[in-house]
Amino acid sequence: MVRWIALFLSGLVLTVAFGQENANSNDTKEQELQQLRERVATLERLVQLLQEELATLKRNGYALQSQTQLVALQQQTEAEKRKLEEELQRELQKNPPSPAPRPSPPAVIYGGGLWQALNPDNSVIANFRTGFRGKRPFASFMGSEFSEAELAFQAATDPFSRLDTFVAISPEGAEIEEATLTILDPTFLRLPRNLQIRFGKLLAPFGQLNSIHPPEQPFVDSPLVHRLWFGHVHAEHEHEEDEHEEENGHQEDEGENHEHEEGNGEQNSRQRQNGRQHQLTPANVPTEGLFTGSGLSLNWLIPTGKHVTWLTVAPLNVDNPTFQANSGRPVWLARIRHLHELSPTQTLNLGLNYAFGRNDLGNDTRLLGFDFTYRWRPIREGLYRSLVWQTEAYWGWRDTGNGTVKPKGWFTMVEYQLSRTLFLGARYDFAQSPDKSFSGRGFSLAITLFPSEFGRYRLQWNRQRIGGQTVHEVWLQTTFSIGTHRPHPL
Amino acid sequence: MRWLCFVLVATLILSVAPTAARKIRVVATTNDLKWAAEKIGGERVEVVALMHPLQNPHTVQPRPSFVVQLNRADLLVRIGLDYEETWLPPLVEESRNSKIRRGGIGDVDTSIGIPLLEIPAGRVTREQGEVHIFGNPHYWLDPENMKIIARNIAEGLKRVDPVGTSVYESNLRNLEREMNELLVETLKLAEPLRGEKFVAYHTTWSYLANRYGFRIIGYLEPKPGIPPSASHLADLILRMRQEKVKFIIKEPFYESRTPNMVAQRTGAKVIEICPTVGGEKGTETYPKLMRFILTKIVNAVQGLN
Repeated sequence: MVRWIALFLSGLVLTVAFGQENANSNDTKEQELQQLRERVATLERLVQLLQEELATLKRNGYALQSQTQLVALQQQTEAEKRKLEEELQRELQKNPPSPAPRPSPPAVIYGGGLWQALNPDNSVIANFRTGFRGKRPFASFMGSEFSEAELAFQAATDPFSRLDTFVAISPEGAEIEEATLTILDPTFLRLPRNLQIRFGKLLAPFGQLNSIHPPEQPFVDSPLVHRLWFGHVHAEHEHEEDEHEEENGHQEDEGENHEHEEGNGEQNSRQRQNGRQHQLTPANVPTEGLFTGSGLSLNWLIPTGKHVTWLTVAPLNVDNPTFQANSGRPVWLARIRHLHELSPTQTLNLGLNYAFGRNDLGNDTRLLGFDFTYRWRPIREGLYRSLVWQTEAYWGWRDTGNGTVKPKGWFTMVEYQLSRTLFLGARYDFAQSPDKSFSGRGFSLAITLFPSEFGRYRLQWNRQRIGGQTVHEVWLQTTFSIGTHRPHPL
Repeated sequence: MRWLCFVLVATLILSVAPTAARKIRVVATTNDLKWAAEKIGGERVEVVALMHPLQNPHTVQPRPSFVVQLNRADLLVRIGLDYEETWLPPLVEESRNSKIRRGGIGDVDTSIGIPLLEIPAGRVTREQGEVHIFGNPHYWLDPENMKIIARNIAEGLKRVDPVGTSVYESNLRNLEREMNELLVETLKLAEPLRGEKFVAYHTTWSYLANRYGFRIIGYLEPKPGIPPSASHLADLILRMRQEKVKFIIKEPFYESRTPNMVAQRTGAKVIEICPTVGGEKGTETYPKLMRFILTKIVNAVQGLN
């Protein structure tokens, strides 16, 4: 009997408990159902409103007007538009709008869709420039030239590495400016993950400006120290030197007119047949200079609090006025770079650079460099205002066999964003040639207009004194990019 | 002797006590994603956002702290499409963290599964300006889409922290319920906006307009990312007059002069709204943000009407 009572009671307890659980579950479902009902009711009201709106439009919107009325209306609208346009134009000119494109990050657009999948990011940056040069601005037309078309092909090769190739095609011919295989994830080689390894033809880790390809730099020409120490004297410059010597005698003769031209295609073709060794003189200083070399680069990332430090070591085969290729040993480069966050709107980049290799005499040359870059961009008005101040200073020790020559060079430049589309830049630079046979200094002003993120127009004025001669240069540069160009890192 | 016993016991306790498990480090690109990641991850995660809420996504200045945070991240939560394309990929590469690279275990693209608007048809060229080639990326301004964002985040968290699966799933259900409630509430709140016409500076508000039944008939930018020109503004003013558009919506990171110029000539009112969590006081969470945005627009509309 007791067993039956116990069984009955247990059954009762279980039924009650189960019932309560069901009731709870039913409550929740009921709530959800209620919410759904409310939502459906809201949507019904929305549909009703839209139907009413549509009916009103149908009633009012199709009132037919005569052809004459339509023409008159159109003319009135056109006149009103013209008036407004003129008025707005006047106002916009009076006080330029504060808009602005992205200053540093270049274009990134993936136009194409599926058929572009797995293709590398391809882009062309076309650089066209026209220049005047002489004792006065606009004294002599230097010529117009399509100075460079930079072709870039960039893509991940696999989950561990990527390939970046930049080919510069200029009137002097095609040149691989940079072609690097970067191992982004070296853990598959059992190496630490903060290490990045790069092979190929690299931009030398020497200074901050040298990490940017010339068409993307903030001035038409490179700073003098880059042009004299790392630039390549091309054939047409050599020809200019011949003309220069014929007309004016030796380069050291100060006070004479050293006007010269460049960019003449006929002269270029004649000079390309000339296989002479190109000698750097005040008359043939190249317009651009980029420190590149082939070899290997090891880069170590060290996070330090909220700041970052990079250590880079790179043995490279280098050929430029400072270092000689095939000298029996590579140029060893080392760079320590610290990126410091001053505030959410300001960063400071500091770099210490060292290079050691052999010069054209087969003796040692050492370079020491220091660079700093200050960047400011406000949070809220970042589209319209920004500032970059960059300074780099280099010192060299060149063993000539009879002693040591100690050339030096430096530049400082500021770029301020005036509006969404307008940037103003100023630069002062000084450099001695690697053998210290001459020196130059210059001041430049540039105003750059970005109608969109993918193109720019730049007007630049230079006043330079190289090898004792003062010249003025006026440049007009247009640079446009098509395709997908990856933005530069930090 | 007593001291020795105390030290021994303390050492024993400390050695057997379970070491506090390290939290999952999540880096979100925006505050909206940060909010969702915190809701899903709960106590198991610590989340930071890279972008400032008042910042234009096109002008983010990469900072060293971004590299440090990405270097240590277990999970990167991003809007995807081409929203962060101008600044995020180089930073991810520089972070040397393979987990968060595209396709990595810790890479979460929250746009997966979103019913996207304004996907360009046909061939896309730069003639169209800085067009978003995969579709409009401002999809978080719709509570329905926030549920998809949350699901993507939950999946990412489960990948990097399988132990917390039940927590993430439970939090996801809660968030979905919260979004359902928010949707019902905000649809009611936004009823006065139905059928209203607006002009905006940029294509930020398409998902909001789509959900709450108002229309954006034109933009101050002639094409995405292209500064307003006099000719385009003249056209727009005429259209606004014809269609009797009374409101211009702009984000705080765009200049005010152009909207004011247009407003002056059309009698329209400029409504400045930040589309991101934390951009304004009273928008510290996503539900607060949605209520704030809609209330501000509704008040403007009702005030004028």
